[in-house]
Amino acid sequence: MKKSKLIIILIIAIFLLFASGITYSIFHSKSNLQSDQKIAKFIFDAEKTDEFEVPIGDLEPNTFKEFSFQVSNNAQGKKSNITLNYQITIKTFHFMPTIIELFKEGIEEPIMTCDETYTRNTDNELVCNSPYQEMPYDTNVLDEYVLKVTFPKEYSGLEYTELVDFIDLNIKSFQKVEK
Amino acid sequence: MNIKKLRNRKIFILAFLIVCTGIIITFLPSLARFKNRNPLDISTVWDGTVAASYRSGSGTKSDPYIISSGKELSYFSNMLKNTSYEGKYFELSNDIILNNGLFSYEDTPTYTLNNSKFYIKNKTNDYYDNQEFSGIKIGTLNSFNSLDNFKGHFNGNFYTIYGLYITSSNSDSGLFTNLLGEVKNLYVTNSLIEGGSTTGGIASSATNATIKNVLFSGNVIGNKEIKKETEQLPLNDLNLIENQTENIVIPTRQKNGTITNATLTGTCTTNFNLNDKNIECQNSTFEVTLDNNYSNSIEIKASVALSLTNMTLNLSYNIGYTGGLIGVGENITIENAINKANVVASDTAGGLIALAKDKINITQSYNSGNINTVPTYSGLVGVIENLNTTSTIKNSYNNSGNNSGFVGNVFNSQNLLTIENSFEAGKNYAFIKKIENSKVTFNNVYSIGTNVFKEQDVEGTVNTINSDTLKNKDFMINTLKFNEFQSAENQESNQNFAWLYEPNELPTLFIDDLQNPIATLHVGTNSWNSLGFDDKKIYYQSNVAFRIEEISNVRPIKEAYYYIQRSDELLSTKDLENISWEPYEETISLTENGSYCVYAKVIDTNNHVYYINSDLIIIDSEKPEVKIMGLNKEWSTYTENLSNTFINSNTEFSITATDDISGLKSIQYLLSDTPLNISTLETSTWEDYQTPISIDSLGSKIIYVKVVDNSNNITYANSDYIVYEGYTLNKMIIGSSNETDRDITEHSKVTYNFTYKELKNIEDNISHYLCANVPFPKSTKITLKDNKNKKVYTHKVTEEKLKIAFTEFKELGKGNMDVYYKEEKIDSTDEDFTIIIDLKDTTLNNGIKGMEIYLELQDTNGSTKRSTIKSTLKAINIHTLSDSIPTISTSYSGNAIDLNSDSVETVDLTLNIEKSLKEEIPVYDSTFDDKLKGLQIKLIDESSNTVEKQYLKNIRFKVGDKYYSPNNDGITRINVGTEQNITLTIFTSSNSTNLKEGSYYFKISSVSAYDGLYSNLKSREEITIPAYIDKQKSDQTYNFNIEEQSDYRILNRSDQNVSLKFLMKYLSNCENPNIRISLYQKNKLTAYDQTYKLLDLQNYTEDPLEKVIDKVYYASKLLNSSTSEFNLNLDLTKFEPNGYKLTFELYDNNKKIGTIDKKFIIR
Repeated sequence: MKKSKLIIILIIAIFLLFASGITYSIFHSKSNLQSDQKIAKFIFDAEKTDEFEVPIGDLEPNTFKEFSFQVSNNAQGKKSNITLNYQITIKTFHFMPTIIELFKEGIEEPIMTCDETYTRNTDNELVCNSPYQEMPYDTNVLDEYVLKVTFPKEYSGLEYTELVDFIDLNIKSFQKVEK
Repeated sequence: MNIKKLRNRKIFILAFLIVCTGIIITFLPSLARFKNRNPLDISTVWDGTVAASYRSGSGTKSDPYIISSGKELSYFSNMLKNTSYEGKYFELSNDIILNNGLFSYEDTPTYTLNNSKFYIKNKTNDYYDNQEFSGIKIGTLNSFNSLDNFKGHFNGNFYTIYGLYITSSNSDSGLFTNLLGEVKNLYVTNSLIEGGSTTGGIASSATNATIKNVLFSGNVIGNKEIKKETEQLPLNDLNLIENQTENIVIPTRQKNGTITNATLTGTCTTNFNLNDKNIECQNSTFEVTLDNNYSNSIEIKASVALSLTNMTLNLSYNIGYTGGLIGVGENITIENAINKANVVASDTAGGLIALAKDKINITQSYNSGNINTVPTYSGLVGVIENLNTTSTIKNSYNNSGNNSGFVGNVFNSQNLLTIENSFEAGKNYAFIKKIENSKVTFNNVYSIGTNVFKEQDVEGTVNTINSDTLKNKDFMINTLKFNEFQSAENQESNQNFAWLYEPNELPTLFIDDLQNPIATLHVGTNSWNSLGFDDKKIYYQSNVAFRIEEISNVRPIKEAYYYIQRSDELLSTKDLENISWEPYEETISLTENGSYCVYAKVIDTNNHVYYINSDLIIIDSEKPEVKIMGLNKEWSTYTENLSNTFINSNTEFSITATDDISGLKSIQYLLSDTPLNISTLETSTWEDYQTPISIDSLGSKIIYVKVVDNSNNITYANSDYIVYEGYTLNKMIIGSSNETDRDITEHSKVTYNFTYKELKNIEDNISHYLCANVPFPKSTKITLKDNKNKKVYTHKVTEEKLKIAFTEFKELGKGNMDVYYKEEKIDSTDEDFTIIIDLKDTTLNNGIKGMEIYLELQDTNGSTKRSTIKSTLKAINIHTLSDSIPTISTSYSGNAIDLNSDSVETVDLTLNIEKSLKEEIPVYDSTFDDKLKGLQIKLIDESSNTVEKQYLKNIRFKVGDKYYSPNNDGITRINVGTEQNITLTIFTSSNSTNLKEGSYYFKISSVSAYDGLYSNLKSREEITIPAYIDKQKSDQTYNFNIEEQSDYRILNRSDQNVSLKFLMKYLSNCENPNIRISLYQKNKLTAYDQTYKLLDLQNYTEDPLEKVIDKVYYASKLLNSSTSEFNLNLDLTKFEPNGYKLTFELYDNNKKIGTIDKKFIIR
């Protein structure tokens, strides 16, 4: 897994149902994703998958990192001509006692807190699915998100040093079927 | 009573006397009972069944058993089979009608019912319309079982047992059999007793018994098949010479009865003559039958020398005892007793007693019944025998119709019997027929017939007298001391003033009927014909009229007067002579409410004056008054217009009733859930009111009361709805969870939950109040939760007060708007409030004891409409004490911990909250409830300085499953939650701490804080665990390090294989350094458990590894330089998605020097 500093705004066009995910590695991971920068803009007209690592080797107790991204149904003047729903999925081992929160701009409370109340899949990954979001065909939608990862101060013991974990962020879109 | 003699009535009176007994026995009971007692109501007849209990009573003198019916009398008979009621008391409360027809006996018993005469089949209960008892029986009599073996006290209260029928094949028959107690104040009339060998009207046999104020009439029939007994009396030997004559001395026989056979037996030497009869001596024995005159003498004549030896007088008897009152009596006292019964016997009979033994005292008693018996051992007393102590008969007489004298026979009673102030009224009857081996003393005794006694048999004389003299009142009073009855009160203190006088009549006892009334006083349906002595009451609801009626024109009334006594006091005979009489002309009405006694004064043509009085007449047309009282309220009328009276605790209601005129007969009540109308009340079942009525269960009740006075006026009254309901305090919790403590500190918090389920509609304009029995302290913060409407309010008490209106509570969640609780019309069916009383800001100078919080609804006038059920309230005691503090203790006694080694030390700790005590009562401090317990651990040096964090990297702590390390201030804070007993594990590792040599101490204290970590509230004590740094060890440094030369942190199984490269650096003074490697996997898929389990690294690589011990391999052995490379090829397909670590350990030989973990994950 390459380490790479990454300040990327990705434009992915998706027309049909597909999924793409971004992997962030934290705690001495190879990715170089920095916080507070728009790291991706997901446009439902194309499909692309990339893996990204987040260098959080300095994520210590009582610190946090934020990662921003966007989801849109239009790019460069082109817009999806169908109403789409999408869902954001976070996957992680959660071997670090972090608090993973997903915020949507305009909403004060996190729309999802990914914690161990969610279930694990057969690969032992904790899978956290957000509520469905809608992008009407007749509207240009640009949803902005921030993924915040917090390391609580109370986990300062020796056993919490040198930990390693990952976060995958996956966005799945599909056509909304009217009832 | 002054009654003047009647003139020219001798023939009529004589005939009347003869018929009188028959009239009394056979005539209509209403006339026979027509002395100053109301006619017997014979409509309620015993049905032959047995009651389950007495009407009431416990058998004591003050609370006697009450018998009110034939059923209960029969129950008495049954109970006597199991107990003799020794010392117990019984009373009648009613006349008892056992059979309502008339009994008679004329050689055969008959029963007259509804004017038809029937024949009773012998020894059965059946009666027929013919003497042959053929055909179908007409009916069945109620046969009564005798009251056997009674040893108590029976008081008839001057009531009558009427229609007693006993027919028995038993040897003993009577109302009582084997009586050993007392019978008094009793009338037994219209009786028929057919018995055995011992029969008596009141008692067949009585021992140590007393009969007083008793009248018996009817028929007492002894058994014709009587008892047979024998007796052998030895005689002295007799030796005679030729031609000598001697009389045999006859010994005294011990038994009485009619001798049916007498023989003389013995041995003899030759023939001889007995009473001029030749007796043959056969085989040296003889047997001679004597005639009935043997007792006079047995003369023996010897023609030649004669010797008679072993002589025995053999006697056979017929024994049967039939008495009007008693068959056989031993040690008997009879006073004021009358027998009018017809006595039919086969052997010994007596008007009062057939046979009296041991001791007999008879006072003021007489017999006027016919005594029919053969032989004639009969009279007032049939036979008196074998007295063993002084006995007396006085102020008594016999006036039997036939065949009797005063006493039949006195036998074996020397100088023990005295008869005084008594007389025999029968003509030509011997006063005492036979005296044997006895001496009787006469003192002022008279008889119509002439009596001759043997001098040795008597002391004194029986004076002959004519019958007119016996009917002379002056003679009777002055000579024979038959003192005249004055009044009931007088009679109680002067018991010998007991006699009533009528012109030309023998004196009668005050308890007896008049022989010859002249007029009847009618008041309403009641009638009297003489002057009475008791104060019985008769009640009327309205006007009642009285009249005086002449009984017979044969004895016309010349003048009649009346007097109305307006009080309940009876007048004495003397009073009657001095009052102002009004002439009587026609019926007079009594109209006003009140008490009356009507007196009549009647004068006949001979100017004899007769007085008659009624019982106490009480006219009461007014209804009684009644009050139902409770809760400071009164209800005194019946109403269908009910309102509500609310109670919140068990409440008693009392009833008072008064009736000033006739008095109260009964007070009864019933409880109803719904209103009742009068017609329903009249048919309802009521309970007697004795003690206050307790409303003690939730619900709505109306108290109805029914009061009846003695005139049967009825008053109904009822209360309002008594509504027992209110709020219920369901829970009271101190702090967060404690439900049991009641003693709390002044900064604690208490939560109450009140609910209510509405039973009755509450009217409008009602407000809610939070109340307390002591004022709410200033600065109390109160939270009010309306759980039904999901609203929360608060209020802070600004000044002490007992009640706070809900409208003073401000709603939460309204931002800057001030919205207060709003009272709305209560139309819901339930309410649910939670009240939180928080005292944390209060400052109490003194404690508060027994504080109770409750809810109330009040109207605009401040009247309580609904409160809280009192029984649900709970009180708290608030104490002004210092707050509780956390405590910590341990039983740890381990050694000092080597801080520079791999060590694990466990310390058991107990964390508590030390409660304050108030007079040894622990006081609960709820401020601790929401707080968590915590530990604060620091390491201090010898100078008590806290060791900084940077020197503590090799130390960690564990509680439960979690590990903890020091914070930046060097203090390790651990939240242990609410646990009381915990185990703290202290881990040290031999990594260099750079701590200087010396002694150190772990200081452990407990805290109480909301987060379990930070608080100033620390335990006073600190647990001290000693530790140390060894100088020698601290000089050694290792600089052990493992540097990864390849990416290893996040691996993918899909890559299948990975080659890891590590550079191991080491700098040491070890003798034989070696680095070992082992593979671990996370135990749990969670961030909160960082424990690992050991795997076998060889299973995950194809590299050949040299094993040190199981699952531990050499990474580098016998290091020669300070750097060593380690390559490891892992087969990623063997791994599960999880977290892992490779653990590198530096050893000097087998002593571990240091450990480095390299963690990675495999996806």
